[in-house]
Amino acid sequence: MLEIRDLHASVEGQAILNGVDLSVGPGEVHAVMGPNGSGKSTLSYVLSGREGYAVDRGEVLYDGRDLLELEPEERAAAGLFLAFQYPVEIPGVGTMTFLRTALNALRRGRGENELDAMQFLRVVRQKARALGIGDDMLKRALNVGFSGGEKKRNEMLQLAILEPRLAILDETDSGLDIDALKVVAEGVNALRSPDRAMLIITHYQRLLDHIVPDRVHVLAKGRILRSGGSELALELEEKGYGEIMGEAA
Amino acid sequence: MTPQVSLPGVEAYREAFESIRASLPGERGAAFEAFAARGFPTNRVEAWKYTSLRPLARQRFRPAAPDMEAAVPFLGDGPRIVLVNGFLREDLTTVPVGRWGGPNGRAGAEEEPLVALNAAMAGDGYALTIGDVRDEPIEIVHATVPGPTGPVAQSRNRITVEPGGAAHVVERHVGLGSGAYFVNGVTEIEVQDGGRLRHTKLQEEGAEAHHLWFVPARLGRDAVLESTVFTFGARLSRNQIEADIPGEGAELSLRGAYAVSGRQLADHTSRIEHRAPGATSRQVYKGAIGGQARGVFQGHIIVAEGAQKTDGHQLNRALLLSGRAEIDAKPVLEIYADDVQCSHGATAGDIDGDALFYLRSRGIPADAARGLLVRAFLSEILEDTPEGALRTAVEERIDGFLEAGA
Repeated sequence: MLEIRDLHASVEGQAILNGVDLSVGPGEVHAVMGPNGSGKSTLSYVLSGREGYAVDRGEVLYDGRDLLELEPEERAAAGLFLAFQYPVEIPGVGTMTFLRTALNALRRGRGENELDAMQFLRVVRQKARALGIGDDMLKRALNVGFSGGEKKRNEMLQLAILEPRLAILDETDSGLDIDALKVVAEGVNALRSPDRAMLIITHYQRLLDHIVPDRVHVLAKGRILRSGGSELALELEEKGYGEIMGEAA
Repeated sequence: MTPQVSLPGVEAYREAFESIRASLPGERGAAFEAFAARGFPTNRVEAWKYTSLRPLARQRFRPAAPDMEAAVPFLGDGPRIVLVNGFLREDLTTVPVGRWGGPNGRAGAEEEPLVALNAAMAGDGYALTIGDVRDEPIEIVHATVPGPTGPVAQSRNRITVEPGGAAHVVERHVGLGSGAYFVNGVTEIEVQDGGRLRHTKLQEEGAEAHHLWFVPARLGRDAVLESTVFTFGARLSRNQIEADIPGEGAELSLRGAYAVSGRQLADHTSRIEHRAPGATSRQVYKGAIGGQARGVFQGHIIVAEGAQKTDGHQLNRALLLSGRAEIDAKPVLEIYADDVQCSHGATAGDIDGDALFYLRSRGIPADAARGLLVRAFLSEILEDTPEGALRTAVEERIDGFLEAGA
């Protein structure tokens, strides 16, 4: 489903990714772990098409298509979703207006009918309840005045509503207390399905206690240094990145 | 006084003035000479530094004549006052109003040459007095019919809110058809002790119009004036409010939203003079500027000696949607009292790239995402406008601006 081959990327002339190879199949959940500055967020932004990230070499295929030549909204239409590490506050844009505009844009792209206000409300209410999101939060401007945890839950709500085929979760656990973490993990687990893949980007192992990955990759200095099963996350937690990176080097 | 024949626009307007002088109520000679002594301001005049009227002064305009036939579009079915070419249309007006009878404007107002020109040449205007509480908004339409010689429409209007009076007045400016014209109008506002006025202006002049409107306002004790301007039309426009606050505890709010593109220039100029203690003034102006358009904001707050506990704030924010869009902002605070709270702020910038990417990453196409962000930016000024014809008209203007690919 997702094939990353020898991906080199830079920001403002500084090389951040130095040859990433990664392959994720349908239904699989992969974790990318790494210390600060290893290139984790850069990887998520390159995949989602943020401006300012130059791809210097390599390719990314999504269902066999060249992902990198698509605009961000085309990637979303193709089923890609990035849950942001730092969701953006947008004053003046209502959360509901935003969710509906996004869902209907995707539905149009898939040749489905747009939902009217009532149909949409039903969909959102049901999914919001499962994530512990109340109506008061939905009535506010997008992410404005949301706590860190509320912002992350709002990302998960978007994930649940937009139903992407490939979800990238960038440091979704940061800013969450243990109860919120469980709620979010349950939400993510409920979305696991044979045709939906997930890439979970995280510094810490604790999210992976709740969302058990099929594969774990260690990203450091812009490359995947080691890959393994879910037990690799536990090993990392025990030994720390230093030792793993030392071994690999 | 030495005649200064070279001043911009004076000769042409003297000729025009003489041609209609006999038909005008009141004595106009002094007002015209007040204009003639200075002519159209160019950017050598500090108050017009960013908006030169030199090109306008070169154009030949003939005084607009009354038009008693033209059909005029209305926003709603409520009470209304209609002027065409600066003349009251009694057949379309449903509110009892007086008429302007000649120069008796407030001292000081005539210092502006264009206001003096208006005092010299205005043929008509409404005088609305509010002594009670009016629930329904009063719609005032200022319509102008463009013509081959580019008519100049000048009306002199007055709104007086007496103690105990309260109203919402919507002044809307439209062109009836395409072509050039020049509007040089005045609406004097007086809110007497304890009166309340909500004043909304919707400027939708034609694309080739020049629109200059001057609003001298005066607030009595505990008076409330909330004035909001929405600027979309005209090749060049200036909305200038000069508020005099001699009343203790008065509250003034000035807000503006504008969306301009092409080669438009939209100028919002205000001058607020706090002369009594404990009054507040709030100003927020927000503009979306595309193409090679320019925005101008000049905000001047004066706090006179003795006007303690004055609370005066102004904020000007501009969204520059193209590399050639421009904003000139000049905030001035002039404070002669020591126990006051005053501030000003100004920002200018492109659409927030992070916000744009966030929306696009959710599948919202770039143009629609920009549209959402521009609407969101301007929405702060619209938020206290209730659902209805006025709000719809403003939203449609913003949609039109976005669809035109500003």
